Amino acid sequence: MTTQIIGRWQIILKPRKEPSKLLQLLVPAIAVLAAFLFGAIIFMAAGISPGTTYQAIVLGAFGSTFNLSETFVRMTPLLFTGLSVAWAFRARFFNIGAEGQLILGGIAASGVALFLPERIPNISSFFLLLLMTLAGVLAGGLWASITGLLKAYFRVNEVITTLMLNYIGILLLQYLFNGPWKDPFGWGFPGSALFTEQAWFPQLFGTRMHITLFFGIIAAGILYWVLRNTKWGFEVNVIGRGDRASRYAGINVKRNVLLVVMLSGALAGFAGVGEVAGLHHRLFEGLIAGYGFTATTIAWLARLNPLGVIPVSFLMAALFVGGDQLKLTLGLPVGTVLVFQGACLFFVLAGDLFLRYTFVFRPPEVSS
Amino acid sequence: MNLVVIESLLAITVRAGTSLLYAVYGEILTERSGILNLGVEGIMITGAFTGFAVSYLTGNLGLGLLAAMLAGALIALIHAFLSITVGANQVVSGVSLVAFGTGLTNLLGKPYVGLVGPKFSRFEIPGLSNIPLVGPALFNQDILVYAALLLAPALTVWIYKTRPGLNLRATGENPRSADAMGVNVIAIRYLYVLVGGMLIGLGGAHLSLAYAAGWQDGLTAGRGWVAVALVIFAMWDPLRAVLACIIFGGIEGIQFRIQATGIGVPTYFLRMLPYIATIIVLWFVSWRSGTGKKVSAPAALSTFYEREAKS
Repeated sequence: MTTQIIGRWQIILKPRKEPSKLLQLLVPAIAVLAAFLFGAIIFMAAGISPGTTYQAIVLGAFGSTFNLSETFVRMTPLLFTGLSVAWAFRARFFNIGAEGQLILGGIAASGVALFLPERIPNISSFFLLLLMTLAGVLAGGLWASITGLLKAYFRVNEVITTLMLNYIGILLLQYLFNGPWKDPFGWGFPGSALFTEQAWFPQLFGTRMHITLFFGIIAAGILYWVLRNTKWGFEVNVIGRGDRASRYAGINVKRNVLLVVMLSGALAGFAGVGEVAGLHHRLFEGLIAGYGFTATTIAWLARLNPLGVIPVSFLMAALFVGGDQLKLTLGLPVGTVLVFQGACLFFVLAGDLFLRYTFVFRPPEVSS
Repeated sequence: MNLVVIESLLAITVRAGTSLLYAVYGEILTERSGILNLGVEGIMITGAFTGFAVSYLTGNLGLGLLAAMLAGALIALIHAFLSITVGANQVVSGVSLVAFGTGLTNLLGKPYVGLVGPKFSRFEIPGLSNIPLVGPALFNQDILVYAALLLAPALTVWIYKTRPGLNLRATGENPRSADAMGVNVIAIRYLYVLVGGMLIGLGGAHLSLAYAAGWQDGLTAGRGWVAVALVIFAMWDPLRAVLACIIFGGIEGIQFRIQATGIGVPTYFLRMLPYIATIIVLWFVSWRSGTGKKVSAPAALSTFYEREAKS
């Protein structure tokens, strides 16, 4: 009696029920590692030593107290925009407009900072900053609401509308600081006048860090709590599933989407307030920093978890600040970091494969 | 406004709309197979840069075009793999393409900024180009424009009148039924994402090799995104796409005209026009579909298809 082997070993993809918490952490981490490897290959192809490059990045981000503080400075707007995007994505609203909402927030806050102290010279710093923040948060929220309304009531694709509003917001910014809000005394490069000191967020430790960072961390905590423990958080999650469940559960989808979008825009607007009130103290080109895509990467890497956004935004900031070093020491242009981010996203997305499926090895059929 | 002015405006309109048109064709094909590729901007800019770089280095425009198409297909391949095989979220995947393409061209393009390379020149079709009003616009253009215009009827026939076109439409509407009837859904999706990428890359090449002639960082300035919106406006139909791109090319043309005549509208607001128009267009299309007129996207757009496991 002979046994025959028919066929060969097969690798079958079996859908996973629910990936373990460990795997959910591990896969994005491995994806980032893979992206670093990918980057190393690209560097080697370009004739640059990856070791030197990565060392420069690490030193640039953490190598000194100043560098570390700069990393925190960069982390602040990324934290807020990351939260903004993560929150929106949770409800399946693909907000790619965080940049525009940030800019509108900065514009509104600047408007208050530039013109209110003239009318009320003795206004207290606290009150002025409060008004600036409210203005910025409202502006960001309203800017996003345009796209939210379009989606809720007209089912217009939000990816395109939020993006268009990005471009429009940038042009509006450029119009303002090159035109009506231009500093009459100039400074060499175009921008608004410097804010009076009343309009500055307190800075910390003698560095450029400002208190907005702590607001961000608090916001992350609040959002996480809302998601886990409140009715609204539950509704947001259900809507995010994209199926009929939300309708069966009696959730008012339109109203919820609008609220989510407003909050998302408000968070990004807060980032803008922080940038103009805490960091730059004026309105100028520097407010445009391409955070839109970065925020998407951060949100996705953090798996849309508000608490997860904190460490991820920190690491991404480190990458940017360290990447600036690359420009100085190795002459590599800005695009390097964007490429790395894109690659990161690719690997994280591909890694989703491992979260969705488990690999089963099936032995060949044996007959006798 | 005299005839010459209108004629030149129309001519610029057609030229400005050509790169958009290629991108819209490409995205129409991709979306009709059921895959949503939001990475058009990234593919377009990569095509623009690659086309220019290769043309500059080899002195050969044809090679530049081929390179642009190849680059477009390669970038699209990443999205194809992630969307079709891995089943990843197509929105995030597309957006990551944009980041990747924008960053890559920024990185590689530095040495090429401001260089003067070979350029497609216009040639007249004798006789026809003298037709008043539309003559110069339609018959005195570069070869890429002519090809784009000819593609409209060609694609229309392909999509609606051929067997492969039927398979394409079936895949986008109901992949499971298509599969049951023997259509290879996976292969078709891959094919049309790649072909779409080639066309989008070609659109980018028109920018760097004909319309704007040269390379600048961020050359496409959001045109890729406008193209995605125009696909919806054109209701996934190649002939309507021509109309849509002419309208948008016209907006650009009007922008320049107004700037040239020095009317006191700040340039920033003029430059907002295409973006505002895109939003209005999308709202309009959705509004129309709400009032009963069917404006259907391929029913299976942006879904992930997996075959039942054979056990």
